[in-house]
Amino acid sequence: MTQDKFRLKSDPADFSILTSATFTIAREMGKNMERTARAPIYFAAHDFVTTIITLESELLALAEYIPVLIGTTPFAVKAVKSYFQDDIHEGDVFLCNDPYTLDGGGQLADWCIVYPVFWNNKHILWIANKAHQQDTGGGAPGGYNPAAIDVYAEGLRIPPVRIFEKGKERKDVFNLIMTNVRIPETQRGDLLSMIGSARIGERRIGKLYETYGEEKIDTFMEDLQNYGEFMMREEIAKIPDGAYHSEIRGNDGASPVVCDMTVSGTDITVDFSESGPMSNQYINSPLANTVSCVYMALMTSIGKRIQYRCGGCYRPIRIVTKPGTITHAMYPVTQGNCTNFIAKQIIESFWSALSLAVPEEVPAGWGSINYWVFAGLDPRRMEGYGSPDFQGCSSGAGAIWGVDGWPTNGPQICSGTLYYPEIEVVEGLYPIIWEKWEWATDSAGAGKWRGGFGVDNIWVCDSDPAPMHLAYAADPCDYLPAPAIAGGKLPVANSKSLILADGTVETPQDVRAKMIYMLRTGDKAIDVVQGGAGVGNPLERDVEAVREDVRDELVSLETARKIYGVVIDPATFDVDIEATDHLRRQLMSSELP
Amino acid sequence: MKYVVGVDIGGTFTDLVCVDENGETAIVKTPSTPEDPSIAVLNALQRAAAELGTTYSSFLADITRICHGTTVSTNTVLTWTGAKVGLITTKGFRDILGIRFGIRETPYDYTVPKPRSLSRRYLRVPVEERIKWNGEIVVPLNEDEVRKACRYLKQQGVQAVVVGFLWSFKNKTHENRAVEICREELPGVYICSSCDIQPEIREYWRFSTAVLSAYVGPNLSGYIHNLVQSLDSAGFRGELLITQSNAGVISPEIAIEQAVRTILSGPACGPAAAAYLASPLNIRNLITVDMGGTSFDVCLIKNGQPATTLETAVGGVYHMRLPMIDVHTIGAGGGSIAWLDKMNVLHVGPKSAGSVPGPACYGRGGTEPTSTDADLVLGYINPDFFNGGETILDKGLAEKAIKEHIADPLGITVVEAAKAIRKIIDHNMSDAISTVSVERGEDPRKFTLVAAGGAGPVHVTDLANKLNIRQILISRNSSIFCAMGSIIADLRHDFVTSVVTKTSAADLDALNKAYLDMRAIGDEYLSREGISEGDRYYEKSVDMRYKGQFHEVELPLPKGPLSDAMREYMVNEFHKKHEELYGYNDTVETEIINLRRSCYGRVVAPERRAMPLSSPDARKFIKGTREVYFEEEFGFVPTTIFDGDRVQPGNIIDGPAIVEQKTTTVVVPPKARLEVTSFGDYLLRLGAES
Repeated sequence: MTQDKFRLKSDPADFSILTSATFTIAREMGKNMERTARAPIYFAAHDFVTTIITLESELLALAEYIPVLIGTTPFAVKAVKSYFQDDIHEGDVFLCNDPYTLDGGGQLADWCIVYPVFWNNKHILWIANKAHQQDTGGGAPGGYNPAAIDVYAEGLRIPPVRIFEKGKERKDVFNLIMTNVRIPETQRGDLLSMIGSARIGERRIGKLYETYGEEKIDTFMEDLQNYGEFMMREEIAKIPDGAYHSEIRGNDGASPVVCDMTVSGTDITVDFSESGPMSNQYINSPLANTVSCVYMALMTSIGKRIQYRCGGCYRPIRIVTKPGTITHAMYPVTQGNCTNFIAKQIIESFWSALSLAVPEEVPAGWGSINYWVFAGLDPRRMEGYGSPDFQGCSSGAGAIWGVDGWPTNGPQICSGTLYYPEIEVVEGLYPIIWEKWEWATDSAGAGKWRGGFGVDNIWVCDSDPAPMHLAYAADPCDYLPAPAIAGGKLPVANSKSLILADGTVETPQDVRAKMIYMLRTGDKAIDVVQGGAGVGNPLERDVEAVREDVRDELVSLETARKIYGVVIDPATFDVDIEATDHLRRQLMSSELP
Repeated sequence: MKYVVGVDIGGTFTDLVCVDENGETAIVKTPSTPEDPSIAVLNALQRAAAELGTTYSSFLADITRICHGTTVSTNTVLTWTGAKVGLITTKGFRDILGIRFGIRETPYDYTVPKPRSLSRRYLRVPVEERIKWNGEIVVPLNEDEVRKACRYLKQQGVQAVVVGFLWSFKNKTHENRAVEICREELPGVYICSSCDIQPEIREYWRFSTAVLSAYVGPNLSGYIHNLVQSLDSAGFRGELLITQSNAGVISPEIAIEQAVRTILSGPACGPAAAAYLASPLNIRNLITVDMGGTSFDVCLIKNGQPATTLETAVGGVYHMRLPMIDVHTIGAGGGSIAWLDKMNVLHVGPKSAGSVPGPACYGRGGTEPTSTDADLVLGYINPDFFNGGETILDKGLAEKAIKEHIADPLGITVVEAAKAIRKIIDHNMSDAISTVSVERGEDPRKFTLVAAGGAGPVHVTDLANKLNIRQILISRNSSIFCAMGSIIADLRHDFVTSVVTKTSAADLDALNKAYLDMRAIGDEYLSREGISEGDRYYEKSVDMRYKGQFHEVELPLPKGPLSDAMREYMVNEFHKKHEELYGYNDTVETEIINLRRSCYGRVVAPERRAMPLSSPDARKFIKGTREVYFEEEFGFVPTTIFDGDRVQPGNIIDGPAIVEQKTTTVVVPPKARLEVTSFGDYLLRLGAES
């Protein structure tokens, strides 16, 4: 199905310049936040987005430091608009995080400031900046509380509130909020950094209005959204019409994520209604999170070449959810880890369904992250510490048609935007000595294009005389990575075990059952972090590529033979071409039904 | 007559500048010879001799110093033609180089393959050894494994080997010993340790920087040896110096040992030239813009000091951490191609037509419209006097390309399309200027723009107008800026020592010793380079941060050993600088992370001679008039064209006018006034009434 020809209403130069200028403003806001914030999660994990939003609550421009949050800020703006109606003034700043008030939030620890932008006394746009907070109150530090029984235990629920009124800080409200989080000084600084960056954005936007005038900018905004919509419709038009179904399943206790996708012409409907019930794990996804995941899934598949990811791109997508399922969490269920584990599954359910239609456009599933959260007292400085083990987040990416997956690129929801701190940095920060952090042989799913490799992550506690508190933080439901596409294979599973200094072995089953440990010096943690899934039949993989992987010791000789059907001399790494041809034919025919 | 010569190899041209004892300057541009870049160097020298009316051999014998900027190292990386590099590393951490801290440059597009590693995994050999965070040896170095690794790498035919161990900057014993063994086992192979290059905390940066050095080292070494030999047999008896990315120069031997320091040296000398050019005019705050065929380089100079940075990614992906001039580059140049996407939206660049086939108007088979084509259609460029008439431009071809690719599909006229192309590329360039100024807390209006590169002066007034910059300085030799910058550069060696300590608890004696140790190595280098003690000078600085931060701020320190008073000074200055850079300071405790020391050897920079000013009247240098487009406000205006190769110091030219020189075209818009300075450069003031 083809569309009518797209026509700009703006002058062509104005359009190009204004498009680039608005995205530059969003980027500058992001840079500003990155530089001024205090929490490591901003500048290392990049767990934030800065967005400019139209009065119709549509994304205009954004800087996506973390892709999984790209669709959540319009929800915050809508919640503020719906709550405050006409009572919105120049100099006001609003804050919200609660997923269950007016659907205004995704994950509770992601706080969003909503900033109405005025020019010549007129409300023209919104800026909404969202960032993961170091703490969000509730029953456990850091916003992750696996033991929570409801959202109250997970943190402070902030419905839309006004924190600045006509330019003046509402001290009482600030005070109320800061009294309910654990590190108020730095968190206040971080909040001011989010607001400061919005002010810079407002200044730059004002300058654009001065230069171009309201009329030209209105026309440009209309053009940009239409441009995004047309770009996306062009991509959708290439997908064969039809209904595509996928299910992401995990262990016995896991509630499945089910995606029913219907493609019709240049429209897509994604229906998650058949997903399983809400989970007793803290991974239930509020609406804003589910929608944002669909956006990310879309932009990393058929939208990957669209340069300006404005709201218009999402107009052709209709998202249907059923309240009360794991993909549409309802008050007061827990949701604290929804941007990690269920987000990955929602994204991969979308990819899986779409891969049935256009396998060459869709990434294969990523490895699941597999980490501990450690905390304790560092005897070297007599200071407390606590952090997730980022080295355990280094899962491999899935392959995509024509290209192998990148190794150590996880978590999937960050899509390669998370910086792993170096070993010298983490050994300086925590009383731990690493023994190994290295790509794990055969950890990736095979394929004509294989997945990226995960790692062996092994470290030893060195905190004498203080103990180290260790909490299990891997996927509680063991969801399988998906999809493996066109005959590609899934990666091996994650595993987590401990060998204690006294020789006791805690097997993956033990670890899974106990979840919490107190380590002593000499106790060793051994994690295998999964690689990504493959695309295409491994028996069709380029023989030279298999040989290189074997030579690099990333694929074992045995896997080369059994899975890829390539026979390699262990001494010279020469390929026995004849034996390989023979073996591949044999394996190929045994695969036939 | 004695000469100092600067030669800079660019992608398209090799530039040479020659200054004699009287400050007289000769310049030569010859086509680069990428197959062997030294050929172009020798060609340029030959042409310079001819231009000076002397013989090649007597000219070479009269040259006291050749300062040479080379792109050999950069190109080696960009074209993956470097050495086969082995990496001997700590067991358990074989993939630090490959993991690249987990980053993907294109988070939405997974069809971009992972950048290939400059040392493949099968050439990264782990050996038993381990040092702890405090420098304590946990596992001693297994020397047998190192020897085995060497033999294995020899079998694999590596040309270079890097030794990179965890925490080696805290305790170099293992790296040093492993390097000794490598030298015994691998004669003729290029060998370095991670601490030889940049002994700083953060193993990925350290290993990656050292591997880059090893990757380009053998090529650079071959090139330099070749050049030295050619120059020698041609009769050159002076001194050859190589430029670095910190805008200092260095002897050829040290350049080979520390090859990574020459990567990105290309654009680094431009800002130094700008500062040099502006200093007699007492202009200390500058933004330099260099618009060539494919790229646009911007650098901010404050108080005469070009901005510096520590971290970059070569080719966008290979990480390197070294002090270097902070040149921000975008893909915008005369060859940038204008194109419509499938929605008929107009874009310009980053793809460039380069010099082959080049813009459509070159008539070399290029059919896509470029920025130069638009400039030609709008009257900015003279089709018969491009490169002094060496290239005759075909305006018809430019119009045809713009019409077919842009104007017709959009239903607008060729001139309208050309205007749109120019506006967009101007926007992209002014955006790049904002990046190095506004986004770093500097107000561009307080700066003078300095335009370089062939296409720079054609666009610079538009950029100044957009940013409300009132003053522009254009060198008479703007197209050979980097070559000029190299001959005024001092010798420079940078060192770093990682300490990581609370400022309040820092052991000042130990820090002072570290500074002295670094100076001793610098002195050793400088004496190898024949610099007498009287010509040496030193700078030191310290990297500090608030406890808990990830990134540091570099703080220059005054002379003299560290004392308790200095400790207090450091803390106060750090708060101030942090406020200046990031808009706030904090009450949190500060930490010292790295000590830095730069050791310099002074060279005698050629003196620039002021010339006597003649009358302001430049009418006798008028070449003609043509219609030139000056934004909506004026439209096409009959514009006087002056002969830039003849205008005299003291001449004043009011806009609208164009000053045409062989190597560049200076646009003087309406309401602007251009003055030829006593050094022959152009000073352009915008908004002046004529």
